[in-house]
Amino acid sequence: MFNEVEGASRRLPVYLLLDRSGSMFGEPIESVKQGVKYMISELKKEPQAIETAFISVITFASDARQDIPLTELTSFKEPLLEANGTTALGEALSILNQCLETEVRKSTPTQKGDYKPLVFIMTDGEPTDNWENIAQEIKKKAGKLANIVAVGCGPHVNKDTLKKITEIVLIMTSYQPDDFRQFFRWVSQSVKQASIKFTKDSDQPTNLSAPPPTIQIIP
Amino acid sequence: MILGGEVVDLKKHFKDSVKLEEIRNLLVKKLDFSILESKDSIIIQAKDPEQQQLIDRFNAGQIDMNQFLVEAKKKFTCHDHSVRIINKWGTTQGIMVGETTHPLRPIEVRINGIKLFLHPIKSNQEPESQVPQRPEEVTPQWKNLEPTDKEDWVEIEESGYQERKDGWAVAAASRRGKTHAHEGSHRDDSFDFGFQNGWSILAAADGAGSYRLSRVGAKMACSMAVEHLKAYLENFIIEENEGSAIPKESDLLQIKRFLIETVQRIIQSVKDEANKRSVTFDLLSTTILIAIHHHWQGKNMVASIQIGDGLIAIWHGGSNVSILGKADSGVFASETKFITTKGIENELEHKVFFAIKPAVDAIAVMTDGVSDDFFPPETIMPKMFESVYQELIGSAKPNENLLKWLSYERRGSFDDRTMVILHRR
Repeated sequence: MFNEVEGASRRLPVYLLLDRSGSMFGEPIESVKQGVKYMISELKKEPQAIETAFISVITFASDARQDIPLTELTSFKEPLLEANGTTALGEALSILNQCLETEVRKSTPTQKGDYKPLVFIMTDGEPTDNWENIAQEIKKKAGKLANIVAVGCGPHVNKDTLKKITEIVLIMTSYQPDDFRQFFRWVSQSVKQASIKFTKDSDQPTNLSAPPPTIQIIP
Repeated sequence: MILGGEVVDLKKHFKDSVKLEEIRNLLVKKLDFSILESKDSIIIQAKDPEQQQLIDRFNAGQIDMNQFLVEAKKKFTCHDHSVRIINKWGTTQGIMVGETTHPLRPIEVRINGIKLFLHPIKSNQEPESQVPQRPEEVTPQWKNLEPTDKEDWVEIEESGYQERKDGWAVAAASRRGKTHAHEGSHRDDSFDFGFQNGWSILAAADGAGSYRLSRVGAKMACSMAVEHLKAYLENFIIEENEGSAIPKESDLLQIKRFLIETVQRIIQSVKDEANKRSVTFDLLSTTILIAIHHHWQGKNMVASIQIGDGLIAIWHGGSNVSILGKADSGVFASETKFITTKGIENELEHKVFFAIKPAVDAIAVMTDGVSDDFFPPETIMPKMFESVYQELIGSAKPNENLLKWLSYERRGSFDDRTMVILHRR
């Protein structure tokens, strides 16, 4: 009897790009931390997600870093985040680009690649570094090599900037703790759905679930 | 997890900053409440219904802050450091040998009436930096639910076996995947097989998971494949072609025609079924994999047609396999095709494959629930064939063995699994 089948299994990579610039200080950054925690515990309720979803956290302020490389849910530890500094979104996108190139496994004649990654970019301000070239790079990949959603929150966000990164742009006008909670609930829901959808129909395109009423889709 | 209920703003209740800090630390670090801080507020939130209840009683004025803290200490002090004993403990000294999740102060626990204290171990981690976490259960909790939709019932598993007089036999099995079991939906894989005039006909199909009636499409596709090919092949024999390694072109073209027409008729029938039910054709989306086998001039003649993913493979014994047809492969997003895919009729010409091979021990038709787990097929499938073969040979119940074989465990593999295998007895 075959009990263990060899070889790596297909993963659903999920990248969270989170803004920890100074404007996120206080309640917003705390809400984001709670949100990530909530998301992980929600995903752990879904067996498909436990077996397939791998989460990475990339954060940006005056610089950007990958706080958590692609990690399975069971060994995921929430990153420690402090809010200060400017908004190096461009650098964060470069890291994302690098990850999509190297971390995500592509299909080759000898291996089944990962499922199409889900990327959620959350920011509350204008980028302060060089971001336009890398945004173009990412936009070429959006939809084809990864499902990318950009979410702008608060009054200072520029939707045209986000539109240069991906076609799927959402705006959260207020950023009360409850708005973040709803946002992360929606992210969890989308990841759950994708993990179920992909594992059922392998490579069929996936639809994200409808965002909560506090989040507006920018056409 | 944070509940969305009422919260308490500590700043409204404590003006003294030392006292405020003390209460804040007590609530967050020892009593495991959740906190949101800003310049103007320190908001305490509940992480579970019990904590929420306490907050609600406080907000309703039923208890004051002191009573709140007393109650909270009673309820949550031990709670925040779950204790897991992994070894024995020495009862004489009352020292526990075990593991806790990082206690910050001595914890009292009672086990079988014996009172024990757990003392904190010095840690180089800043205790302030981390709110104590409760250990969580993380093994996947798969449910196994009956399908809720009672229409178009499909058994959770199904298998079949039939022997031929010429030393071959077919075993087939299909079982519902974990995803369908978990959400209480139907298996949408299907299979069928049959013999006619020396031919063996094998069919498997995988209904598209997200379409409500795909199981109907899959079932129709398989049974009609066998039915139509039985009719086409009833009087069809491949002529001898002396001195040549392959049959005459006219014969190959004829077989190709049979396979293409079979799929065309399947498509038409499934369309008719959709009309009859007044639903869109999409709802019955399914893949279809068909293989036929006959002996020819001491060799094995195998022909196939396949729409969508899954795999048809021939095992020559040992480590040799041939793959019939091409599996979809893209970077991530190779769209799986179905019989309902627009314009699929025009592609059928390119979806027929032949193999004329001297040594064949088995031919398997499988849905992607199986084939994706044995990738790349060229190197992994021989092992799969060997393993399956052992289950079938000399067994009184080969189909049940095949069904059992299909229940192998693999991380990330939750699809329905179906295999139809023609093999030498």
